[in-house]
Amino acid sequence: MTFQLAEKELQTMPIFNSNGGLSIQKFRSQWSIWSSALESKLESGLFSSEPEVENIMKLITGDKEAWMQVCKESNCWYEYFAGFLFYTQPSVRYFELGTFADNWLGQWSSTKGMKEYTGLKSLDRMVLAVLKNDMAELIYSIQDMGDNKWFVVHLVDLLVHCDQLRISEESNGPSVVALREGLLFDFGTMLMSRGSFWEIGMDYLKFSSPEGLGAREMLLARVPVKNDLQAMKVIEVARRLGMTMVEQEICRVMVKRSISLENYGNALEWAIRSRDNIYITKVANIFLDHYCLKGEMLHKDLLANIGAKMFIAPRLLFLVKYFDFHQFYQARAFSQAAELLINLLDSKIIPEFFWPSLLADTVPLLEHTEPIIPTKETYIIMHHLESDLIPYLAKSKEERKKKNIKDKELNLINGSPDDLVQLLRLACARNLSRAMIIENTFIR
Amino acid sequence: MVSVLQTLDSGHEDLIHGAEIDYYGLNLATCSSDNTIKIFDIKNGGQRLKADLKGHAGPVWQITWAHPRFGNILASCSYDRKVILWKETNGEWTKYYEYNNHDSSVNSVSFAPPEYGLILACGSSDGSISILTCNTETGMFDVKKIPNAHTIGCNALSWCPSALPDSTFDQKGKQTNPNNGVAAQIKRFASGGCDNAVKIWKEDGDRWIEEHKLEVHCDWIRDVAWAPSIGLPSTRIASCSQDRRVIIWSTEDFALWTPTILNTFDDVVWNVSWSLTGNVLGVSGGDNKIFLYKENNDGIWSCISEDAENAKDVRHT
Repeated sequence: MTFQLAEKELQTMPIFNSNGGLSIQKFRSQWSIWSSALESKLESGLFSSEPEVENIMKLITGDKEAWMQVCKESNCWYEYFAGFLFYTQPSVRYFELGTFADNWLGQWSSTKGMKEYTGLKSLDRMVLAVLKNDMAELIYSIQDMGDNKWFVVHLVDLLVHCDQLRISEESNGPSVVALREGLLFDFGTMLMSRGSFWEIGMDYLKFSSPEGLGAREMLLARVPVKNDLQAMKVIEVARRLGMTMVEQEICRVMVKRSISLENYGNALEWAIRSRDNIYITKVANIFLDHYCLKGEMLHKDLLANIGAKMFIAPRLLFLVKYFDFHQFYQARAFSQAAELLINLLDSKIIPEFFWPSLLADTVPLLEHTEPIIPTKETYIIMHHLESDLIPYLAKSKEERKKKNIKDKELNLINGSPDDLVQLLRLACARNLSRAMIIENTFIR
Repeated sequence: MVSVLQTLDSGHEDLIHGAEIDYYGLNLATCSSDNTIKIFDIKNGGQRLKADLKGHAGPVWQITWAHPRFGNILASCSYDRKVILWKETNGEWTKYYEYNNHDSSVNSVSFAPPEYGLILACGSSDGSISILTCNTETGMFDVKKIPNAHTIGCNALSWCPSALPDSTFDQKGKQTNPNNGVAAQIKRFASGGCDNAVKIWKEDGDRWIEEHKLEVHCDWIRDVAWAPSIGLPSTRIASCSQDRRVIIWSTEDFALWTPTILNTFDDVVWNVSWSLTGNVLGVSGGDNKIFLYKENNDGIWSCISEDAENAKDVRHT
């Protein structure tokens, strides 16, 4: 019986319909009429047979005592606030929420026996700040959330974009923008330091302040690169953003790493990508040194496929051309080999330490059964012999004396340098004699 | 919020004077009064001892990593008047170069920005600073000495970062700059010494001249740190001293330096160190505390953390 009464009361509760044509004032008066009617019914003991229903009805009328009773079991201050507000101030406006929230909070804390605001956890503070429309407090408290500032960064960003961020009373456009940029900057740099998130970090930094753009370039260079694949990935990003310095840096680092792991083919590839003369020269020198010592070329397939890239550095050009010479020689295309060799001699890109090897290579061509090298070219060989090889040999002898190192083998073809010079002079003379005879013979 | 990420048990048998993380954040080098340097692999929060370098005959005061484009190189300086450069080849660390032309303890070493090449500055208690420049082709070091840089001794060095050169290198591969990307810029570094002054040195031709002398501290300078630049027009240096103060010096044009006292602490401040992007300054002091300071949008420095845990006193004189 009591339940049916209660249900009937509830059904008569006025409900606001924004399309209903009822004004707020009318709704408010309707509500207060209904509420006071319910109160008087309560007082007259209509629901006294069922104390629990009576309690519910008390709550609906907004009876403070009843609500405080319920509050004692609540976990957070706002748990029953919405309900209370619904039944006491059904038409409350959002800007009035602050005052009501304060009142409610005061009462709730007194039921809980604690002082206002001190016992509040951070989430409680956040909700209060939202209800009071206190933006500064809200931003301040959400920065402490344990999400690495993800929430505050994105919230501020959204608010700034729709121009809704008002931190304090005066209009402060630039400081709001500065806040957003600062937050984005911190977030971006934080991401850059976490393993695989650097790409996302780069994106965040793009949208932050101009410092962010500078930081982007600097931090991209610092992304730890463990292998070739990762290096290519970072380089691709750098290339896309036009950061040539970063690209070069990474290539240089990879060259050094490959050299230290004695992976010279890889080193040469990275050196070419870096387009840095010093590094390319260094790697090319390693190849040439290896040839001088062992007589064989490293990574022939790589050298064969360098193609147009060899023009990047003179040392590389020399290396590739010398390799070509070798190929000609091995294919027994002696005249082409000879031509190439003479071109190399005159080219001025020969490293000093390689003169003995290069001139030693002329010997078999000079001594070949059929004369290949004409007089002019032989003169060229002789010229370089005197002007380049002899001084180099003298110099290296001096240096070796200084360091007390014994004469070591310059290459596999000859034992000591003096022998080489003798051999060359002899070969040149002999070839010269043959060539002169052929060239100066008139055939009628 | 700031929190401790990792604690490492180094296994050193005596005071640890320096700890430096390498360029990529994968390795940590520590140096100690037990005359050794230890290198740890700290990838992904792990801690694995990779190498134990023994070569000094006295406490090692400082270590510093070179840029990886020169390979894996570490420099160390010690009470035994030597500066040693260590190099890693194929996983093995060996002595690459030893410099012992100082008359007393070498207190600080610092590598210059990599754009200038492989250059190391060393500051010593004999008051002089040596600049070692490595010739890339020959591998030999050329030495320049600045005698009497600081009267009783030089305690700290820090190089000015080079500005990012924009187009010294043409993308098509034509090298317009004969130095191949090496910044044709004026080299500068800051030094702090026992004469209570921070000095800014500038390279002029083939010698180094004292550009400025900054005197606000009233006791020995223990550390100087030049903030990394990310393209901002202003430059900052942080200095800390036995007078318990940390001062931040800033300038827009290298002509006038303006000091700002960050804070006066309770005890001697031993080290200052900037974050990579130059917006957070770490300060460590004798009262076992580490502080991190950050500048907000209005240019005011405020402390964003206080760590009272394991920051033990890092230096004895």
